Amino acid sequence: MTVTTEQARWFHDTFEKLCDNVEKAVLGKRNVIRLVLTALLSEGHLLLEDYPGTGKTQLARALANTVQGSHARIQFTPDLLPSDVTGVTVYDQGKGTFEFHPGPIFHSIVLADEINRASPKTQSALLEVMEEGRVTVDGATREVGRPFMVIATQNPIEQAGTYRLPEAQLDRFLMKTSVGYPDRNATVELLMNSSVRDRATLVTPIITAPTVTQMAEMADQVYIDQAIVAYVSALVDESRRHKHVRLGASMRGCLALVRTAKVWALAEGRSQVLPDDIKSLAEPVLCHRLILDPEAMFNGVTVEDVIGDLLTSVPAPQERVS
Amino acid sequence: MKQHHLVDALLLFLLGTIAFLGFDDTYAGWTYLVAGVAGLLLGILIAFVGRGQPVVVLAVGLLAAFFVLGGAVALHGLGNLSILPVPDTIGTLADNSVHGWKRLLTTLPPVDGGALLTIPYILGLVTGCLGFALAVRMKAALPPVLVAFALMAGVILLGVQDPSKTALLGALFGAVAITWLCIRGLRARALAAGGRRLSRTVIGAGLCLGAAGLAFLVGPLLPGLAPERTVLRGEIEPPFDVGKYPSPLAGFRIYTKGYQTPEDDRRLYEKDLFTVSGLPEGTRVRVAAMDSYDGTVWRAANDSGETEGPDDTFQKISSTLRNPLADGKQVRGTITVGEDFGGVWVPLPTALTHISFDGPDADSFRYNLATSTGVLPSALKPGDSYSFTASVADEKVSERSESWSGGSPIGDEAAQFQALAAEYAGGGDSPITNALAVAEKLKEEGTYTDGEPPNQQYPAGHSLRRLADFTAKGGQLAGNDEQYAALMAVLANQVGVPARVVLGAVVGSDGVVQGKDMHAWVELRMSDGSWATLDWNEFMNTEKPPEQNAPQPEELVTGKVVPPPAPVRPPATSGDPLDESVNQKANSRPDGFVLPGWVVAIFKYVGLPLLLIAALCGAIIGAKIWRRHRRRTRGTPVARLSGGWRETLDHARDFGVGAPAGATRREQASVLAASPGMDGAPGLALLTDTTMFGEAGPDDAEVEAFWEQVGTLRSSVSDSRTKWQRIRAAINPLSLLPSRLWGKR
Repeated sequence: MTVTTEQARWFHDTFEKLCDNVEKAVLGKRNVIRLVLTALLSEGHLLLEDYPGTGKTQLARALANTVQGSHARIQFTPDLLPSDVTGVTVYDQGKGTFEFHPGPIFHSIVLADEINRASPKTQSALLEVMEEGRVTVDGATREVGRPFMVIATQNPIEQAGTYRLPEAQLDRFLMKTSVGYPDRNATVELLMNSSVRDRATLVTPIITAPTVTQMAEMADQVYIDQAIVAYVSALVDESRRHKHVRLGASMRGCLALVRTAKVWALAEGRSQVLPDDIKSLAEPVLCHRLILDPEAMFNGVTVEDVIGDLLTSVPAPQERVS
Repeated sequence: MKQHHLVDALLLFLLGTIAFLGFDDTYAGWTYLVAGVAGLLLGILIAFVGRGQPVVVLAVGLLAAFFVLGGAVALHGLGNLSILPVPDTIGTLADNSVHGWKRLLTTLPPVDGGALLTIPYILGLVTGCLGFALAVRMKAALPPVLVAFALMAGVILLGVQDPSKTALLGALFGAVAITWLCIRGLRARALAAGGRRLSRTVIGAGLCLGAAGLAFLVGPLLPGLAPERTVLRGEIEPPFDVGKYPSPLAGFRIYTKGYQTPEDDRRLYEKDLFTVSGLPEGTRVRVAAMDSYDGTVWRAANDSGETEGPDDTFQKISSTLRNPLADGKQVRGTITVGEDFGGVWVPLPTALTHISFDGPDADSFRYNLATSTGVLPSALKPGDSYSFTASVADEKVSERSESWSGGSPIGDEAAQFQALAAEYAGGGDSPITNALAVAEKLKEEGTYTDGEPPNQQYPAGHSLRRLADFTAKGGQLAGNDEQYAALMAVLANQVGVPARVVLGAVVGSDGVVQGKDMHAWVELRMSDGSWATLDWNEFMNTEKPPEQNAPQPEELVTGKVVPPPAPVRPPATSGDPLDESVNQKANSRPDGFVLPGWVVAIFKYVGLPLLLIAALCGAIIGAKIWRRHRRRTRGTPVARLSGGWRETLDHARDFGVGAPAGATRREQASVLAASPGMDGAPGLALLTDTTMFGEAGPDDAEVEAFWEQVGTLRSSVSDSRTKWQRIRAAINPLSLLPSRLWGKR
């Protein structure tokens, strides 16, 4: 089964409407919004890293608000316990039974605010649910349902009171991106409407959770040629051999790039993935999966530099394989 | 000055200095280097100051620098005032900027310099200004280096045939030029990022092989690659010097019956020399008129001084000429050269007014109006034919005639014969009477011999020594036309009648001129400036052989040292006895139509390079057409689709718009779209990609429709450019080269 032109057009229109809706809360960040929505429709999780006050939380809340479904917010603090995230089993004296009280993770969209302020133990509580979509508490496993998305925000790791996310945790995020400060025009508009204390409240739900799932399933049907898959493979392979990289992209990274590329292509109204889709998504999908050599980092090399180098050195495919 | 400007200026200066050192054998001393280097520095300075200004500003700056500072740089050795831009200095500079090149090439090296230092000064100025202006204004690596190469070529062409230090200067120049090219190339294209080291090495090796192959194939066809160095000094045609051709009178004996030679085919007495048609019987046909006697031979003078203007010199003429002597009856005739005649002297009647050659190279033909003598430096060869119109008046000398009262055509060389002339003349009342008396005396006392046995003691030649022997007291006058005509002319000049010797023949009834018809006669100048004929019969008795028991002649006692007789070598052919090389050259020419020399020269030095360039351009255009056809028609639909996009990129590349290699089509298209006429590139790239990477893949119809769009985009690109840009794009070979070579495509 393939995606028809009409389906692609519908997907594109819906995607643009979602962008417009979220943009009410976050001005002038169209591309970031597109990335965030791509992560949502890829059924992946998103890590937003930026300095305080750039609108990470606003973006996450606006995304949650645009989907008609349950959403919850967890403010990660150093004293937050894993059970505060996953839920806890309590003994009901009246009934004489143990009852499970689900935590905030049992929502469609979970905003994990300032995730790197929690202890590694609490951060690890998210590992299972982010990968498998279920939570095991006291030996009982519970599904969280679809759609399920964790939008985590974190301050740069150099900030005080932060804990570095473990590599395994980072790898479970489909994308990592930053919002960045708004440009001059957006800043002026924000200031002119400063009376609106919470811009995320401007965003009203325009899509249901089942529709999100439907769109995700449609994206799975997008055609990707073997030449482009080989291109992804070559990029990832090259990342593992790059002179400045200590740990290259994982297989999960490969899969993430292909999944997101399909959504990205469909969002542009196409039913096939192009090399440009891979190039557009390589940085947000791969950047948090690469660990640079300490010496390279000391010399000022960034992950973005390495990915740019990869995209330059690995030629994009010009012809299909079959 | 920015750092890269400084580097360009330094390397240009270095290249120019090395090139100027090539003048080391052309100029004496080091002043040429000072002038050249000063010009270079000034030129670079002008280009630097005028960067960003229109070209006309640079031109004005160059002119100002040339005239204002030219005196100080190039004319400082000509006097104190010459260093200032006074009118004389400016005039000298202007004169040398136009005529100095010729003077340099026609002056025997080493040249002292003087005003000719203007040449290196001009070369330095132009090279410095043009080279640095191109270096500043153009990103391409090659143009400024080419200017330096042009200077080097100019120095070589203006230099000498065998200069010293060629290997050293060539190696230095090449090394610096390559260094400059590399620096500019890296600066312009950042080659280091364009490919990997291995690929660059492979491409470099391929280029070297290609260049070597091209040099092997094309090199031998180019001018200037002869074993001898090509310099303009060797190509310049020196002023015409008729004196370099042997006197035809000196070889007269070859026409005679008694000519002694072991080779029968060189005995011309009864051989047909040439055939005359159209001329009346009895018309005199002149091979050469000899109006100068140097004590050794009578020869044709370059300028006898007979007239004020150039009429008494050998001038190039076209087919028709205004001949002041042509006041008689006009006749048309044709002369066909026989198998046994040739050489540079062209038999003609007097007072030529028109001539057209059928066969020989007529462009080199020269004619002397005063002596009615024609010379063809490229030489006549057997079978050549030429037609002419001439006035054939033939004035004879009579006692009533009055002779020219001006100077004699010969100097004091024959003054020793003054007494003899007076003795023979017998004291007549006019120079003409005396001259006729001399002729009569010679005829009366003279005997005729060609030196045949048993008269071998009477050799050929008409030098002073031979004439002295000829006229020695106690002996007998014994000789043939050569000695009698030579002596008659000498004695006539001694008695006050200007005289010259003419070699030729009188046309018979059948028009065929054989060796036995050849004679030498004398012409005497009359009071009106014309020349009247004194026929050989009037001073020579051909029927009277010398007496065998005649007394031995006494040595002529004079106060002068008599030079030895001129050596007379056996002639190779009848036409030009002493110049075998000319005859060999003439005989080696093929029969039939022969291209004029200037046509061959133009073809060789202009036509051939142009032909090569045209062939190269044609090959480039043909290769592109073939490539486009192949891309559109060959291979799978996928290959043809991909080929369509590559064709678009190559077309853009031809217009100087490069797209990054290794990028996606849409990235490449975004770069192209910034150029005029390429707005449709992004759409075409998207169409290519969606068709290429779609699930079904491209089919033939889609590919054909795609190529239609490629054609539309190509037309759009071409329409947005000027005609000149389109021509340049059509012959631009860059798109035919591997993309990695350029870093972009």
